Order: sequence, then structure tokens, then C-alpha cells
Amino acid sequence: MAINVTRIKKSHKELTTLGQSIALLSHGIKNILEGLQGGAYVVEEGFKDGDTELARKGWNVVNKNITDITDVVQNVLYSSKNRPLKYERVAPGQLARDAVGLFQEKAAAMNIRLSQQSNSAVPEVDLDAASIRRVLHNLIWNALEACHRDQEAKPHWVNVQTDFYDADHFMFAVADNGIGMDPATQRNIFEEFFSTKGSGGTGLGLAVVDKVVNKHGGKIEVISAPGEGSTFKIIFKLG
Amino acid sequence: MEKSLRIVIVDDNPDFLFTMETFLQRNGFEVSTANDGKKGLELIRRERPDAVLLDVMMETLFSGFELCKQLRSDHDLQHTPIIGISGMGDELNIQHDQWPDYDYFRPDAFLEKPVDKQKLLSLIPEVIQKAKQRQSRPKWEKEKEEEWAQKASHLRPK
Repeated sequence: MAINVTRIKKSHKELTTLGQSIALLSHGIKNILEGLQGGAYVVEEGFKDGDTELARKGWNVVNKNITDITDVVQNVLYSSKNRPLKYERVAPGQLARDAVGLFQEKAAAMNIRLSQQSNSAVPEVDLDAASIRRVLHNLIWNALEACHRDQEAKPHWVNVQTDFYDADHFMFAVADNGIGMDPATQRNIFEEFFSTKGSGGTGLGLAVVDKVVNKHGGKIEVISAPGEGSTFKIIFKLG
Repeated sequence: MEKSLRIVIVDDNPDFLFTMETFLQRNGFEVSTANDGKKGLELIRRERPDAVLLDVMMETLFSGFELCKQLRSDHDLQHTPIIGISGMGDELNIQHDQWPDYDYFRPDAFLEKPVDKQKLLSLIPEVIQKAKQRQSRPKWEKEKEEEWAQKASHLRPK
């Protein structure tokens, strides 16, 4: 009797990939844990000495890492769960304004100018608002990071634009003048668990973007060059 | 009074630099920090620390492993005690296998994130001691090692 090993080989490969993915994910989580423990330590030391300034600094570290872990969990959920889209009528410009608003404080702290323009003629459309918010969140965060990691001493900016793409489509375009990507990096960015951010990345952000946009029947365009920055356009049908 | 030990921390995570610097300062160390490997190497050249705390997996191309190799290949700095830190122990094993001269260039000790702070405190004098022993080995052995380092200097970690 012959045994067909193709399936066994395939599941073996899937398991290996899964193992590597979990290793990378836990790498990201360990870094966040380190931040939580370290921050808590500093808070404690501040209290011990009655040094509220030190305690506050420690507390900021704790808070930042709580935000980070929330983000990781959200992205894990969006990348793993096959949840059906919940369409609702939304104004794209409003989604972009909300997303940008959430990052204004962070951008200011990173010394990056974060702006947005939306063409008010773009009509309301049916989208799964929660997952599009997640997409915009990931794209804006990546753009800020790309600026932050750029060593070049120039004023950095991130811009989010909502506009028509052509007669039948509209787009969100998230542009930055940060570090940019070479062609090799661009080929891998939508792969799950691919990251260039070292301890800062889990490799889920753009994989989630890709997944959500595909489910909406939309498409993504990327324009990028090292040292010049990147633009991500996500394009959806009007109506 | 005994002179306090000087530590350089190299890590791409600003939270880690801040909290670890606070911890070590409060335990009597003098601390300087760098957020990438290149700055780290400059800092180590300038400060001649008693030990280096090094994130081996930083995002920049000049990674912790590369920095480690540079230190070990530098005549003046090759005995600097290095404690490698990583959030990914398994990945370290992979690197280990693929790097022929890993044993020569490797850090003196490894710690996993989140770092066990008490273990770190006991590890620092240990690695300093270990580095001293390394330094006091017979001359021929050192020469041999330098020769190997020379031979291997064209090899780059993955």
C-alpha cells in the first residue's frame, strides 16, 4: 500500500511556519513585557523616594506598552479571525479624520507633522468601519515609524489624503517622507510576520491591511524609495 | 571608596534604555546608553566600560551581533565583557548554527527579555571575571585567536 505523503509534508510545513510565527510574535510580546516590568519598576522606585517626576516617567512607559499590547492583540484578532464584514454607511473623510486625530499627540511627541485632507465630494460608502479604522491605524503608525527611523536630519511629515482615485473608485493615501523601502523589502511587506522593525514589530500590521482591503474587494498601491519615503494607497469602489 | 563600575547599554528600544539605566544607576553603576550598534561602538570606544549590555537583535543593519563581532575583532576592545539580551532564545540557536565563528564572537552570557534583574546583577561581576580570565591566557593562545579572527573577519553574520 502506498502512502501519499504530500499532505503530511504540507501539514509539516504549515506547522513549521506556525512555530516560527509564534516565535516572532512572542518576541514582540516579550519586548512589551520588558517595558511593562521596567516601567513598573521605575514607578515603584519613584514612590519609594517620593520622586513623583520619576514615577510619572515610569508610568508613561507602562502606558505606552499597554497601548502597544492592545495594538498587537487587535492585529492578532484581525489577522486570525475570519469575521464577516459588517458593512455600514460611512463618510471616508470622517474615518480618516478620526484616525489622524488619534495620532496627533504621538506625532507631536515624535516631532513629525501629521496632516490630512479629504475631498468633501467623496460620497458616503458602505464599508466595515471597524476594520478600515484598523487599516488606517496600521498605515499611519507605520508612516510615523518610517519617519522616526530615518536618520536624515530633515523635517518629517505624514499626510493622509482621502480623494477620488478614478471615476469609479476612491482612495485613502497615506504618505510619509521617512526611511522608504528598497524593492526587496517591498516584495515582503504584506507577508504575515515579516518585519523590519526589530524589537518594535510583530509583522502583522500590513498583513492585516492586505487582508481587510482584499475582503472589501479593494486594492493596494505602494510607491516607495529608500531615503525618499513611502505612499500607500488603498483603493475601494464607490457606492 | 571603590570606584563604581561603568556599563554601556545598547538597545533600540528607548523604554528598555530608560528603565535599565534607572535600575543600574540605582544599584551603583555608572551608565551610558546608545540606541543603535554604530553609536554603541563609538560609545564603547570612548567610555571603555567595564561591561556591555547588548540587545543582539536590533532593527538596524548594524545589529547587536555585528557589534559583538566588531568588539571581538578590535585589539583594544576584544576583552570587553558582553551580556547579550534578546527576546528570542530560539532564534539565537538558529543564528548560532549558521555562524561558523559564533563561539569566538559570542557574548559572554545571554539574558532573555523580560530581563531578570537580580540575575543581571549577579551576572555582571561574573562576566567581568570571565573576561579577565580570557585576557590572562597564554600569549600563544591569544595570538592564535587573533589569527582566527583575522581569517574570519571577512565572514559576516546573516
